[in-house]
Amino acid sequence: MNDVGLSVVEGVANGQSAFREPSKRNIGLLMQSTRGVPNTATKITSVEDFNVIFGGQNPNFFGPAIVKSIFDEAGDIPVTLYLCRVAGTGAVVAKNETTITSVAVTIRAARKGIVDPGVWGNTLTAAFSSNGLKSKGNFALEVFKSGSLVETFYGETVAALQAKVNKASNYVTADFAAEIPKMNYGVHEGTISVTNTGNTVLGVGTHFLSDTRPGIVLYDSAGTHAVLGTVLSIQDDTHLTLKTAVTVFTDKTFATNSQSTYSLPLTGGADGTVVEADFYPVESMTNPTGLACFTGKDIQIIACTEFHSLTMAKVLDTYLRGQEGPLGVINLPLGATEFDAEEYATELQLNGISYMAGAYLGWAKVSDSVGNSLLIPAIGPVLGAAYLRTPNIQRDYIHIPPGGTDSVFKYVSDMIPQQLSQPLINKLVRDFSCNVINFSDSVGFFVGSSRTYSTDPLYQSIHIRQQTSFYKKLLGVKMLYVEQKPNTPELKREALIDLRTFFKTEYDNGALERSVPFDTAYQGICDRSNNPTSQDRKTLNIDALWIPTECTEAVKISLKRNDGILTVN
Amino acid sequence: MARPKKPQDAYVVNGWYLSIPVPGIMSDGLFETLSGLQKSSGVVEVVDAGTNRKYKFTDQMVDFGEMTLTRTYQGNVTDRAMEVLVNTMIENGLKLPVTAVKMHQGREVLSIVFEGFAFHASNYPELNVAGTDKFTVSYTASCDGWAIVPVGA
Repeated sequence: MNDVGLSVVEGVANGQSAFREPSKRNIGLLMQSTRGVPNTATKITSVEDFNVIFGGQNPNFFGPAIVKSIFDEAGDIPVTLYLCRVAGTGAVVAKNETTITSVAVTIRAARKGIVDPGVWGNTLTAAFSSNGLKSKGNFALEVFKSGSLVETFYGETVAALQAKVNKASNYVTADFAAEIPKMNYGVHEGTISVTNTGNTVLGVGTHFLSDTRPGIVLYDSAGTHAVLGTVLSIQDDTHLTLKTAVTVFTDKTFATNSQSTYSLPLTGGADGTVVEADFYPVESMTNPTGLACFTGKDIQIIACTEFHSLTMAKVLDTYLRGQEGPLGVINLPLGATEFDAEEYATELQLNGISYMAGAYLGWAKVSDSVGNSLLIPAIGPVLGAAYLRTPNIQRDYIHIPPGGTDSVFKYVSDMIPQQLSQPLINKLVRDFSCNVINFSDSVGFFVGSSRTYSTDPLYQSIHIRQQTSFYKKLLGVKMLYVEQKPNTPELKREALIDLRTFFKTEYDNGALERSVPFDTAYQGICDRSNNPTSQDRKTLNIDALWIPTECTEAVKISLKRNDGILTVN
Repeated sequence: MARPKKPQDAYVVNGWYLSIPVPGIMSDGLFETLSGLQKSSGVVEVVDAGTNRKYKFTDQMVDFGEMTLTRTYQGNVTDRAMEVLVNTMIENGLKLPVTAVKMHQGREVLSIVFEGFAFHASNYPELNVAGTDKFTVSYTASCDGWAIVPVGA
């Protein structure tokens, strides 16, 4: 109940959020990389993210170069990648286990509290500093990578320091078995006395020159470690002066706060042995591995960067058919011939819905970060140029085919094979559903076809596969309001009108077949024909019949001499 | 030629409502009249020199014209929501997909789906100390297109 009188309170209105359409082209890459938490799909949107989380470029794997190629080819266009590292068996996390003032301490290579195996961890050194040494009243943990300071954390207690490190560090986790006392009393040789009230201290058997320094506090080594005084100056090993006068005491053993920095280099990190089977999906509620790490993620395109074999392609195909949404993108092996393409086609072609884009034939020469030439699977530049840049140039519609001269490779110096003969291209594309990279003297290399492994003309185009998956997802969100509503004629009308409005916009944008009127390209049905009176009254069937637009694959311009029409006198 | 078949039924102009997808309005606008619903094109003429007949062809410019809608103020939140909506449409150029639903014998029979519907003016009645008319506000509106969609059973 409100208070009597005027009261003004602050709050946030719980208004409905505006409708946001689903993602269109998020790419999931299952890869090997320098580092990265294994079997965890991590979203990245910049090369900087990739460098920090996955360790940047590494010539031992295709993955990092493919990621670089995607960002290079995409240019200024927004890129969203879900990267998942496969570390293989035998991968070991680099660590340092030690004891600091009787407290067991373990530092492990990690990111945000999750261990991150690999030899990369051996480049790390953690430096733990006693309370007050680096920052007044704080313990400190500094992280060095290859000798360079990359992170510094402070905490008033070791527990606070540990919590900070494990929450925020991109490089290590820290595990302190117990709290380390802020004061570490180091007892020194000899006894000290102040015989007259004043600030002159006399030592017997002491080594003031080595055990103390100006500004250091002297403590009673016994009992509650009472403060004896702060050193102002040191005359010799047995005479020093305190900053302020103290009361008389005699023959006390003294201590100082022993502060030091403990260098903890990480060792023992090892990369695992990765085999193709490590990429295969193992579904699990708690610990999925391989392709299964992408299940449930907001991903529309999936590729594996390392193993380009028929067995891997078949596993991907089976996985995607189970997912019924994302599109698989594969590459033929290096040096593949038309016979390999035929073998892939024999195994992967099917006369129905295929979630696999036809394998891309070719390997691309790109430059690494220092300018050396590197051979990577063509899916790198294909994903960046054809799947991301090309649609973006054409207003980011979902129905834009990933190919054509808009997909010209900007960062590829050469392709293997460089050029294919026209009869071979015809055969590869039409018979073997293999996608090709074309070369034009005036343009360069670009994606020349966009077919799936379906032999059914309805499902042959990649863009129609992407478009259908997108519509399924979008309508699943847009039409959600129909759930758990009274099954009334008004609801049916609303649903039909919403669908019609959506498809009309798509039709106007060129996503539906434009050679026929809209009423032919789209029809919405929700009447007795699909909702017979005999059906369960809790059921509502709505049929949206649509005709997608197709892409041009074979264009023929006939240049014919027509001199015969001239009248010669 | 067969004789015309006998009438089966006759729709009447009453029994309709407008649905505007704006919280606070939806189907509660309680509009009373909608006039000017139309679709037209211009005409170009070509004279046949042999017969001197004028042959007429469409100029292919499709115009959905201007509509007028009226509703009576009720002193409720819908009045406020309409004022805000009209202001937003006039000042920011907002357009909305709007649906008019035609009822017949208590059943929905068809919907008129407007694309790019926008109010361009609201005209308030004369205030008159001796007047006895309803406080009826008339709105001028246009759309980018409309289509009649039969309602499924």
